[in-house]
Amino acid sequence: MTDIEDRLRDAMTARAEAVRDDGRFGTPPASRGASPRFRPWAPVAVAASIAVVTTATVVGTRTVASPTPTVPAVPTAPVAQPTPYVGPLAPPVKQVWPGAVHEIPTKAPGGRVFTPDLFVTDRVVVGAGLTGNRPDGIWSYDVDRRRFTRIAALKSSNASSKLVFGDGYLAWSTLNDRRTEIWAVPVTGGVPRRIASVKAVIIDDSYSGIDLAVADGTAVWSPVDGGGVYRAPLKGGKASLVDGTKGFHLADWPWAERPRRGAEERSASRPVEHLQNVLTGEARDVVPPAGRTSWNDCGVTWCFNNIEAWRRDGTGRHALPGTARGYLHSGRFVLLHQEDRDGRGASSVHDLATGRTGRLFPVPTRRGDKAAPTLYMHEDMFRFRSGSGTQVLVDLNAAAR
Amino acid sequence: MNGEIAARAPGPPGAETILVGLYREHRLALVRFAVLLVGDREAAEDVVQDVFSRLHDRPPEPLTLTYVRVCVLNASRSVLRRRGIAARVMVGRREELVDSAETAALLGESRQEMLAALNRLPRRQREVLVLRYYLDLSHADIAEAMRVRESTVRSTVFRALERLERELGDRA
Repeated sequence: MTDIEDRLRDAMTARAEAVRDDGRFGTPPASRGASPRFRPWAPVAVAASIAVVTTATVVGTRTVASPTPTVPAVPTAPVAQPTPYVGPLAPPVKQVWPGAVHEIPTKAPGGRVFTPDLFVTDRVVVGAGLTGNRPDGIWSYDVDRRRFTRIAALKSSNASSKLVFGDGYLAWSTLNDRRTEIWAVPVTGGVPRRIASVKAVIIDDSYSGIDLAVADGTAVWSPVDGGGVYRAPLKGGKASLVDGTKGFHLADWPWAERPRRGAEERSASRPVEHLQNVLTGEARDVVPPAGRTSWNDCGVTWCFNNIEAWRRDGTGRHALPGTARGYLHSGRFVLLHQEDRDGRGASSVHDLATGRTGRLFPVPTRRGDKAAPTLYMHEDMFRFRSGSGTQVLVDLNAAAR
Repeated sequence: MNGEIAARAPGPPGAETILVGLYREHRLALVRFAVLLVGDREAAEDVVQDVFSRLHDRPPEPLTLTYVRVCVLNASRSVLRRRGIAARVMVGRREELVDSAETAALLGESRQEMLAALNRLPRRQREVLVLRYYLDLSHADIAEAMRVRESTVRSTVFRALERLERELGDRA
């Protein structure tokens, strides 16, 4: 998911949710009768054949659809659902994980916009510097010394995806001449080096990029559109498909998943149901608790739906202190929407492993409430603007320690 | 159930029950969907009311949420078409849709920029983005709803995102 997609989804959800229920329930408006001007709007056959997506717009979250491809023709009685959490909002995130929350500038030297991607240590965050909307360098920021350092310069042609980190290297991917290129540079600084160039998976002129990681001295990746886990040595060498990964997608190395989280197919109501260790061949399938047949996301250890979470083996089921949104982060954190009994709302981050929850910021639930900032959710970090020229970063790996 | 409805359009058994159920369960969600297509709540409410008022004489088979969504999509197009005609008649005046002050305050500057950019997109691009990123429909589902090829949906999504990216850049 790109930044622009995240922002678009966020803006549309916020705009839609600004339409509050005015309590006008009951019956639909009366028939207008057969007007001579009336033309049927929807082709019955077409409409009936569209798979239904149960998007719970009331809470503005992605709800996992039933595997059943069509909606029943006659609405049945409402299915009993566990009650969503209504209760006290979590304490501020800074209070819960003081060592994991940092307020840093939004601008790097030269007036560049600094868009951090990830923490490479507890104290150093790394991201791209942008001039005129184009990344022109990789920068780090030390939260103790409060200083920026440039790690590498980027040409516009080799600037693209978010950064990943491992084995002392930062890596990223680009699309160049219909080829996916994977680049890496030591985090200590240097000249970026292209370590692989492979034919890009482009479907109908649409390129979805790759999911990338650095591990065991190699770059490992999977095309978002397409299966297989590939790898290439950081020091140069041929890219190759990892044995036995056809049909799987890179999860958390050395684990590969199927179906891919975030897959578009409506059947993917059980994302990451199958995990396989590509080095040992060990398989870990989800064993959902009784009565649970779908979920929002699953990691190596944790799974969750909108209102509860459980371990991959089906144990440890517990209710969430809010309504979950999005995917797992760092394998154990989820974003929650919380509401208290007075109707106040907040976006909070919740650790499934410890049960601790920290409030990121209040979200408007009533007219006159202050607007919430846009939240950028990276794999291991959340960030949002906190004021003019500052942004707050929540380092989830540090929060997990 | 509304007696007037029953008297005017008895329909096949079950049709009215389904319609009432759809209205009760999904009216708000449909208004929210329509808001993203037509830009303002008043018009969105009208679209949804209009759609339901025209569904009374339908047989029960097509009355699903999916069907009603397609109706809302098409009715929203009609609203936009009428606005386009009105704008051309009122030479020199272009209708600007603005959110209420309250809504604007709720949304914040960054989201308003995004929504304004969304509204500037051609109709088809705007529609595919709403279906894709608000309703979370797959490319195949969007293709069926809009009666276009799946490849057209993919390329339209791609171009629309590209255009938004160009317009908005890093203005988060």
